[in-house]
Amino acid sequence: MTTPAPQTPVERDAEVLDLLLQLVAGTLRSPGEALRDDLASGALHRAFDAVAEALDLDAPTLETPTWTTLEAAYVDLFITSASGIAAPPYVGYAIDGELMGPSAQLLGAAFGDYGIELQDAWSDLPDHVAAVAEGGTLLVRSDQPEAAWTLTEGYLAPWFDRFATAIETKDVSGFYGPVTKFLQAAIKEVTREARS
Amino acid sequence: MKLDRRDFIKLSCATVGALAVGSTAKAQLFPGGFPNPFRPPPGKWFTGEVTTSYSYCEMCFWKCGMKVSVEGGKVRKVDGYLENPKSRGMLCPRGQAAPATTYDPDRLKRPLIRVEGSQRGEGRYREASWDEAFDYITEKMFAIRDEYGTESVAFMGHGTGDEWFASYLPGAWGSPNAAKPSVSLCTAPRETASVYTFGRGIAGHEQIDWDETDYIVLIGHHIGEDTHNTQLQQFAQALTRGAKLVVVDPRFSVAAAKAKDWLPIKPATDTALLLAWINVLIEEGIYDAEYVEKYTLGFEQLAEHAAQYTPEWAEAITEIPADTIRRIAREMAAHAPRAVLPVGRHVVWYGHDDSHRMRALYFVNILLGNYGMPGGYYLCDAPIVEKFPAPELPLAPAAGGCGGGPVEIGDSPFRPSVDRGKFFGTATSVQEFIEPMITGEPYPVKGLFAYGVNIFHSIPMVERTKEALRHLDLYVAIDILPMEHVMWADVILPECTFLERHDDLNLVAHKTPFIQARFPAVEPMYDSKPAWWIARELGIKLGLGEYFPWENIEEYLDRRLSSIGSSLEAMAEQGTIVRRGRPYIADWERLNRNPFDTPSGQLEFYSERFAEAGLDPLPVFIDPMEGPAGYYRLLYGRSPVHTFARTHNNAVLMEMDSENSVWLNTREAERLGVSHREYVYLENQDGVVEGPVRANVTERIRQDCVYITHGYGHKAPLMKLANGRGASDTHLQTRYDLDPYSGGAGLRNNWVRIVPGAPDPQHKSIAQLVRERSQA
Repeated sequence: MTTPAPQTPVERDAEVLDLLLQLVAGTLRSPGEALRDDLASGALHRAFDAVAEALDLDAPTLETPTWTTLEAAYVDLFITSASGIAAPPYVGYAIDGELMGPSAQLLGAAFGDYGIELQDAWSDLPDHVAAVAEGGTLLVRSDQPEAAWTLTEGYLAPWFDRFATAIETKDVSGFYGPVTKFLQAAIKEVTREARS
Repeated sequence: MKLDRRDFIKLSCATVGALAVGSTAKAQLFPGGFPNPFRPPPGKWFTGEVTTSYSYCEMCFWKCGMKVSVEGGKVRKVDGYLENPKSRGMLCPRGQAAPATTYDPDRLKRPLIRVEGSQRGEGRYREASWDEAFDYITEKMFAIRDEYGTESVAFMGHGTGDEWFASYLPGAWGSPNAAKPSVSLCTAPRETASVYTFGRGIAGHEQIDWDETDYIVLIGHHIGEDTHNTQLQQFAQALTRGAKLVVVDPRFSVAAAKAKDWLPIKPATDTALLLAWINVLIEEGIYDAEYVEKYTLGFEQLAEHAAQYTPEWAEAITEIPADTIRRIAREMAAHAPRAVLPVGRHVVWYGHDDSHRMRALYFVNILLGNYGMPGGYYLCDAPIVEKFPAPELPLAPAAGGCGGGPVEIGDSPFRPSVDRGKFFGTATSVQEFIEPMITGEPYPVKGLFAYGVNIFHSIPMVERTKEALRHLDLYVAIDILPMEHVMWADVILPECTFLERHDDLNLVAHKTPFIQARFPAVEPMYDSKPAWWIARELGIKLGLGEYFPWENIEEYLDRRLSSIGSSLEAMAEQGTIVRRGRPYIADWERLNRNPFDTPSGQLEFYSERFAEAGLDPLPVFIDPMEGPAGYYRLLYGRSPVHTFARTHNNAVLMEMDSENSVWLNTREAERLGVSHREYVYLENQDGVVEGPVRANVTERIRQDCVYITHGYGHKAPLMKLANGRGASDTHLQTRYDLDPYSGGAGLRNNWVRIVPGAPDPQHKSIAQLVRERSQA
């Protein structure tokens, strides 16, 4: 008879990490129907509350801008802005300072190792912060929490550390600023806990 | 809780689950703490398989053939190749820097629609699918068509894709208001003058027989500053071979530094000098009489006309000594026909005078007997490749082109372009669209497409242009980077870079005519698309699908190439097909053919067509516009590492030349108390201020003019490297003079005064800005 191995911190926190990564993927991709539904139903706020409670953080106070304001804010922050975007939404850029640089290529290769590949309908770079977070949730759900943890610490955390404040400063929606600052803090906390 | 399962990443269960894989991956997934296996080992720039494909460069519009090397899904390097007559195995810095534009983080990424209720220029946008963007555009275009007619949608284009947006789509849609800045803001006078003198256009690649010439006179032609790769190579080789060089320029240019004679001519008087040279060649009987007798028409009228233009007359105007004028004329004649006055490219200088100057320049060459002769101008035509079979366009394209003459519109069910009647030529003038957008005269222009044209850095009178944009019902910008004007558009359509796309075949009129092809080296980034795709999809939405009968670009190109017994597959293997040319008159005479497509079949000194139109049939000198006291005539030119205002966000090129400076004569600087490299402002005659810009205090320019390189002074914070560096010549061009022959806009009719004491803008170095990109 064998005794089951005790859960590692990574395994213990996998559920929180999964939810956290869903929030990253859900809020930092281009705003679409899913986000609109989640906002309208209150699901998004409940998810933030759940993560905040699990990590002993204050939940973000999210304003509820009009949909038009939210869409325009996303473009202004991440895509194209007359005054300059706040944050290219690519994790490799935050690390290397270039697009499709070494980190982005390493990330692509690693996703390939785990059998994760981009779908044809995705029309952005593979290391878009939302895509990477989505990949993390797939890793968690396929019993690879260790990989999801290193993905989060190695790739997502630098992006938030680099750009969260710039996003908060430039955001006029009252949504993306608080969201990214919270996600930054949550990622810091969840990776700290896992490391301990 | 409902958090939708995003579906853009999928999991292949077959390869998931092994702990060993997870363990390995953990090490790889730690870019900060573990050695990065993708870092290239020392001495080698790649670790994976390298693939290469053929393309032709789009960093300027010389379009050198290039090979593109890709590793790991990323373009790593581009090179010229020997078999291509333009690159001849070499690329200029701009070509080498092409990947830096593809991977520019400031690129446009996906279609955007201006937020309803926001103002143009405010910059509030939402994302849209291509379908949604096309629907928005077509709805507006149909509304404009129904109220004002198809002609009320105007099109501007620059770059390889401009054939789709300034020629094909307007022709299918039915608008003669389609133009290229490369015509009326660049080459128009030389093309009109050439067509009505030689019966042939100049073509994009100026047909100078550099390899055979012994004596070169550059008149306002900045070789070495306007870096056209092949031309620069051949020019350098000619000088190495011992060819003599004379440079006529108010400024001691890079080329002047190589010359045996620099003639610092008074600005705006070049035509007087050329007329005096005509005078000397004829009066002294040192022109090529046999050539003139055999191939020209109107010599007697020219001789009679030119008698008044003595060197002494010209000295008083040009400030070049009469003796020097005579000496250079005699030297040219002594080397004829291997003496040449090359035609420049950007020739819209003074408007009223420009076609006269170009005709006079051609006349000197003809008198030297060099047109169609070794060492002079060679003759060339583009290779013939059949068009893809499609119905004839309802309206012949009217935009003309950098390398072609104007298209005669002929009978048409459509109204003529809004500039018709303002000048003799038939290629539409881009700057003449603007006023009708504001006034509605002669009829309203309510829609505008700008493909690859930075309209705030090319069209003079920028504030007028902004005012015009406010009057439009539809403004569509198609571009790669968020240039200033792009953020004024109702719809922004992101084009992919040339390294990511096919394009139409490039058919090059050259001493050895050739065909070159462009293949995508990598997939387009983001949701960007090539121009041909955008034009076709939009055409189909507009109900013009019959004019776009091909399914995809591969079919289109393969069908065209089949007409010459080749194929897309074959082009992928060779990149370029080189034909044998007929560069000299003798090559044509052997075939009993006449290369001169003028009404008379001769080279025409005297133009009956001009006379019939009430214009001067022979070139004359017209007194230039004068500026206010205390102001300097604003001259402008090129940086050798930049193209127009297009490349100023390219990190590699900006590292080489990151801001312009204003050249100011030393004595003027002393008088004004301006020191070298001090920052100053430039204020033009209408009170427009540009800068701060550094003063380049130098003996290399006359005292009556100043000079800056074009393309700087961007006002686009989104273009982080380009923004706010130097001064914009275009913004200082608040007036122009229209050439009554070609419709060109003479831009050197603006004056500035120097305002000392501008603050040092404390620009970060480009290297610093690039380093900051990587500082997490």
